[in-house]
Amino acid sequence: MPIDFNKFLPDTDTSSSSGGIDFDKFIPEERKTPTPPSSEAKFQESNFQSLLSLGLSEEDARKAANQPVGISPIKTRNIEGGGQFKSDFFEGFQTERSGFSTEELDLFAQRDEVKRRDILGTTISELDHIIPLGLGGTNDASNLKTEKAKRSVLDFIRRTPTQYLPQDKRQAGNLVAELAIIKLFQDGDITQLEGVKMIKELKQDPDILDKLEDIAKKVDNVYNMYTGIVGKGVNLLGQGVGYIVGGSAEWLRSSDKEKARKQAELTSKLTGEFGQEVGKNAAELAPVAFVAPLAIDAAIIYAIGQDVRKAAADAGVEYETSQSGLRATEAGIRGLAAKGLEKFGVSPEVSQDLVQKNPLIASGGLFIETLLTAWASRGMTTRMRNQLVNKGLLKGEQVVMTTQQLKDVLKSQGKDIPADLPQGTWRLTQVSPSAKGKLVVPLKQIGVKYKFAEFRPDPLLGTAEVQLTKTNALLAGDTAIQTAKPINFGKFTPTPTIVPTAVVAPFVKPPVTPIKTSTVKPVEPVKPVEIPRAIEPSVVQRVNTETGEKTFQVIPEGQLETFKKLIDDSVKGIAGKNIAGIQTHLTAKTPEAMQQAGFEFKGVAQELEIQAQEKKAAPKVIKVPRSQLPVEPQFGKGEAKPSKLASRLKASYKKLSDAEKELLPEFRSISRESQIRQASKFVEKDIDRALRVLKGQEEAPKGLLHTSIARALFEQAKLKKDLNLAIDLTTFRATRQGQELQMLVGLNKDNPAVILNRITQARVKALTKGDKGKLKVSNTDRASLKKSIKEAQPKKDEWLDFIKEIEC
Amino acid sequence: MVKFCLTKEKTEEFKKLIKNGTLDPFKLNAMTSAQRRAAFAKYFGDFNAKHINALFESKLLLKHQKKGMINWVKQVGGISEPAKRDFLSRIQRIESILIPEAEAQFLEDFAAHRFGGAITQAEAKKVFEMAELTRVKKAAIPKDSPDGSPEKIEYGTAYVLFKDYVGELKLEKPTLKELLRDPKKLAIELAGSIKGMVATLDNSFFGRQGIKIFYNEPQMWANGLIRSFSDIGKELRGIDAKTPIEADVYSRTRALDGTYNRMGLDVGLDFEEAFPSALPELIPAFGRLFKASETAFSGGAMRLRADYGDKMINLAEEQGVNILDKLEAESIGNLANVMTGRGSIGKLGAIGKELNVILFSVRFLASNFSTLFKGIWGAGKVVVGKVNPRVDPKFAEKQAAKALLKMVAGMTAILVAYEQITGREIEKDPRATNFARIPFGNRYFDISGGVTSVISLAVRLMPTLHNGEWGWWYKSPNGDFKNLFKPGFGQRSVLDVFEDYWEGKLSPVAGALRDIWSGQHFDGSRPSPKSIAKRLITPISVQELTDMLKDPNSEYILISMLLEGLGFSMSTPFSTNWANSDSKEFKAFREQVGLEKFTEANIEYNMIVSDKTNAVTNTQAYKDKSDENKRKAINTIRKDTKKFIFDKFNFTP
Repeated sequence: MPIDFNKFLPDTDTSSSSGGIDFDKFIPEERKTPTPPSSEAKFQESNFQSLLSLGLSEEDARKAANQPVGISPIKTRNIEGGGQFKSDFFEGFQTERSGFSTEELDLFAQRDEVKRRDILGTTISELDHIIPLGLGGTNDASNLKTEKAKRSVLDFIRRTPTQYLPQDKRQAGNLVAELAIIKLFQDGDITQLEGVKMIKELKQDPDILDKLEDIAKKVDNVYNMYTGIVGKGVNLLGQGVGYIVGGSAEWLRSSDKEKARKQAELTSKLTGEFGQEVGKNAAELAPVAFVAPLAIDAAIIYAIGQDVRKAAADAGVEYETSQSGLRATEAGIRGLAAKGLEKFGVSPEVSQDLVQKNPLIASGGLFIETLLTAWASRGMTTRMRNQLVNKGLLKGEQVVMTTQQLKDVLKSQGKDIPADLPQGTWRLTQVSPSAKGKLVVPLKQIGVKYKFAEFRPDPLLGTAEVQLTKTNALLAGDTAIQTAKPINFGKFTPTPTIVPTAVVAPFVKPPVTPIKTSTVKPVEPVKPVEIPRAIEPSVVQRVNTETGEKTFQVIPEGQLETFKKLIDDSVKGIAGKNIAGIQTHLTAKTPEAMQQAGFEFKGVAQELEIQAQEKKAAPKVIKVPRSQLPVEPQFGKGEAKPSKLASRLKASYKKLSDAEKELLPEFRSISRESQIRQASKFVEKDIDRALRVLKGQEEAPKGLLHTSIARALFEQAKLKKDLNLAIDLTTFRATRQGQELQMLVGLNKDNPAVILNRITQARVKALTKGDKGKLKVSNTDRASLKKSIKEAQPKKDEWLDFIKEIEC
Repeated sequence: MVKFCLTKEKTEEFKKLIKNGTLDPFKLNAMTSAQRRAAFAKYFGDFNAKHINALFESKLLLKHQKKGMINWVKQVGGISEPAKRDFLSRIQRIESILIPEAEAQFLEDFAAHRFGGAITQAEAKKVFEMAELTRVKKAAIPKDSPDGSPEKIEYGTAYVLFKDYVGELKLEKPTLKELLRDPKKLAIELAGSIKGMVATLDNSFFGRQGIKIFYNEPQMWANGLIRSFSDIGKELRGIDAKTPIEADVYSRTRALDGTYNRMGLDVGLDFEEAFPSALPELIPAFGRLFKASETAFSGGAMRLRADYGDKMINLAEEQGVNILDKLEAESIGNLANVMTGRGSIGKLGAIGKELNVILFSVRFLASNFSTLFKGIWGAGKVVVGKVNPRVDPKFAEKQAAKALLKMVAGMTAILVAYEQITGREIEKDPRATNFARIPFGNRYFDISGGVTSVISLAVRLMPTLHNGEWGWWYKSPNGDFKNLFKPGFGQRSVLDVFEDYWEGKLSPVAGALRDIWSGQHFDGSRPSPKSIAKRLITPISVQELTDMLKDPNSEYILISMLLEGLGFSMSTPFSTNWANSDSKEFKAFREQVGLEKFTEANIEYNMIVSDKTNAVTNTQAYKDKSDENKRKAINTIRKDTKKFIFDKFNFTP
């Protein structure tokens, strides 16, 4: 399942001045420029071109250009023949250059009557963009001019090509100022128009503004063409609606057919015009529709409609004067179909003849024509997009950032950082401001849009899905969160004179050198769990671990701190452990949540009732052998707290609808607390035995129902994600218990173990087609199994080895 | 557990017993656990025997049994390599010895593996992973997240993919091999495929099954129609358009909270009845067209059903109806199903698949009956409820009445407006063939999705009054009435009308049988293997196009085909095929002029008769004639035309 990575990205264009125009839609994927080369790469490429222009072979030029460079902005290079050049390399906001061949550069130089090289063959001029690319200029010949550099005698002797001269010498000494203007624009301090005006003054080019206006006009044309098309598409829809509504209304009013027809035509015209305006405005307001299929379809419909109309006129049937619009439409469609055939090389006469005589061929022709129109419409969209890109009015470039950098971007925009933002590397398409906005609004006021392109996850953290799953599980917080500290409740706690070792033991640091025992599992030190700030415990739970009696009391509002103070800091450990036979803790749940979970409250906890025990010195640590430590590390003996399985099982019963409960004849019995606990304990203790019971190979423990065991097994499989158990549960279909199990699998449909069982049932049904005999193994196979097992049985020698093995 | 061991003396004794044959290893191996324990107890006492036996079983016997089982699995045939590998890994996991009681279980498990019925480890793993992903995605849906939100769609997609995967694992879709082995299944599948082939190459859901929504929720309908074209486009380009639809529907609030289930809303169907088989998808090139059409139909139905279901259930909730009540929810769900062409067929649902082989769209038919009769019933209850407060119509009953009312009003508006603007008269008598149909060219289009034909059937099956005379009246396309209760020789009776209605609803396969048994196709031509095969595999839209092409009077073929493609069924005009006639006169004519001219003459005859009939039947004078005279007038036209044609071709009968 793909993740919607875009949801992590900063919002789209935030500027109101750009009208929310999503120009990203205009950029076809293939036109989005690749990640800009690094400064180093830029420099090398630049050197390479320069060396080439000096007459070096491609190989030598590449070799020289690829020499490692220092970090100094002044680059010095020695070249063969004793020459040297240095460059004040600019790597700030210079836009990418388009490569022109030497021949092209010579031609431009010839046109501009400027020399390209001096007598030593050094390049002394370069091609300059009149309107810099960085200000929206293009590579059109009209925007290019060969400019001589301001060279000194030293430059002449050193044979420094113009590209590697200091900026204040290049391009008639205008480059520094030009770049400064571009930077002002790029930084958003001036508008594009202002920038171009400044360039105009700099270069003393009176035509520059006209050129810019020309570009702006082109943008407008493209834009207007688009809004016009959408408008006309809606016009058609409007015409249809107007025809029906206007005509019907008039007829209902006057019962005059002729009047109704005239009214229909009039209303059609009016609603068409209205629709056109609506469409045009809508397109201006929401140009995103430009690429929406609906708008394209509208354009297609319009185009086809116009074609039909024209074809009808060609066939001599004018819509406006036709008695029957349908007849005109039919004629138009046939005419259109003929055009479709003509596109396949059929002569106009034959085409006309075929479509008139054979409507099947006409359909084919129409299909071709319609398809071409549709393609043309889509092609038009592409052309428009390309035009915007080609004119340099729109730019989409790909940037790579780490998750931390993405966070910084989000932060800089004042956006919330998603909690589940996966860690890794992001490749994003950064879409520059809208063309129109760029012309007239300083960039500072226009946002930058990012579009997701690729995410490479941090290999240590796993895929985005894995990361999200983990984060979501963490955020879901469905695990019980307990206080980090236990509380001593004086009044309820029998004041022990001797602290029982079994109680103290969990809070004692594990011995450094544990006593070796083979049968007792070591107690894992329990890590304290911190309560998230968002969740405040408000319930006190007390469990008598001997009787299992559990009471809950609500902490009065605002009293939480008072109760927290009662926590005995001298005892370290986690709540939920036994303290003198009483297990107490604050829960992170609200009383409502606890009540919903089926717990009963015994009122509000009173501060007086639970006087804190006088703080004592830390209890004396009594070292006990590990064998005496309780085996169950979580909740101790006596099942003071139900196991996770029991809780899950209980919750699963609660989820059942009344109808589902009816499917379980023993529901009342199996949903009893004692039955749940017994089944959970039984399954947790020995899954194999539980399975054997279900398979009928062993008796169930007294009082424990098969259904309870089965359900506990299913829950256990889900809880522990135990594939083997889940598979085992699918295997005993033939037994009586297996039959009973079939009934259960209809319940808890989201349990994967249950789903597997249902799959098996369906498979067996599909494969046997009701004939269970197909699942039986032949007697021959049965006998061969017995034989095989018999043959593999231990021989005398192996028996003797075995005896040796069990010798003390 | 305490580690057990035997003292040296005891082990020596044990060895001796083995060596001298007192304890025979082979016999010990073959004994049951209890027998073996008893045998050990004789020499080592009960306590030691228990432990020796336990150790023997866990350390020695189990290992050798596993070896034996593995050898057996490797030798025994009929099991695929992957299944064998999986089963062997299962054997490795066995932790207790194979006792006789467990042997059957073991063998059954093996058999399941052999037949491909067992779940493999990889499959189980994927199910667990997908279940977990679905759960995570569901948990990630924020509260109050609107339908169609990215989070919901993500969940919906995960759910659909999971559902599809589980569906695949169930192996419910028969393979070609299985089909070839099971004639009954093959017949059903073939019949389904044929039906699908005939129903394809159009986007007919919206003009047929979904048309009722047009009259009730036009915006919803239009939205569905537009999106269906987008779905067709995607499918034609090979992009899966169905999963997003399903993801959207399954992740809606009403799906998540179980309301759809309670409603019994038919949004989780494997197949809609018009496309009961996916086999035609396998046909190269055509398969893609088929899939596109199927997606437009099924996806459109699912989306529209969910949209309308949502609307109704929300409205019910707003009006204070207890939507948690199963009966209320079910009745609303049934209404949404009916409105989208899926009526309930009650207990017949159990044989739905078989019924689908016989009838073309039994649930669609049921939905049309339901629309009409439940609407009338609901309206009746609403009216009676105004007078008698004890009669309290249910929400769904009120809505059914409203839906019918809206449909009638909507159709009336369209028909009347069309009649007035175009000047073409709409047939208003329900006993007539073209009742409430739009005349277009020389054909009539049904804009009711088949509801009007139910009305016509009902009215023709009950006595009605015509010119002061009671009878089972039927109005022919020429405008003359026939009393079905007094049929003349060779004329139709009431029973014929009833039978004809159902015969017209037969599936393509059943229809072919009907034609063979009756000795003629619907157009009167004689059935031949070629003609039957052609009818079985040609999509309706193509059949209609072919008919139109053959008909010289056909007008506006392309527009008509567009309408037909959108599901607005068109009626076939009357024409006479002389080739089907057994009369000596035609045989002689054919012999004289040859087949080519004979066909040309027949076409010209039909054209003239059609033109003249249309011209005559629209005149007031004709309308004022008695039924008998109307028939005479039409017969005269036919007779005169025939004579004219014969004269033209210099034939004297």
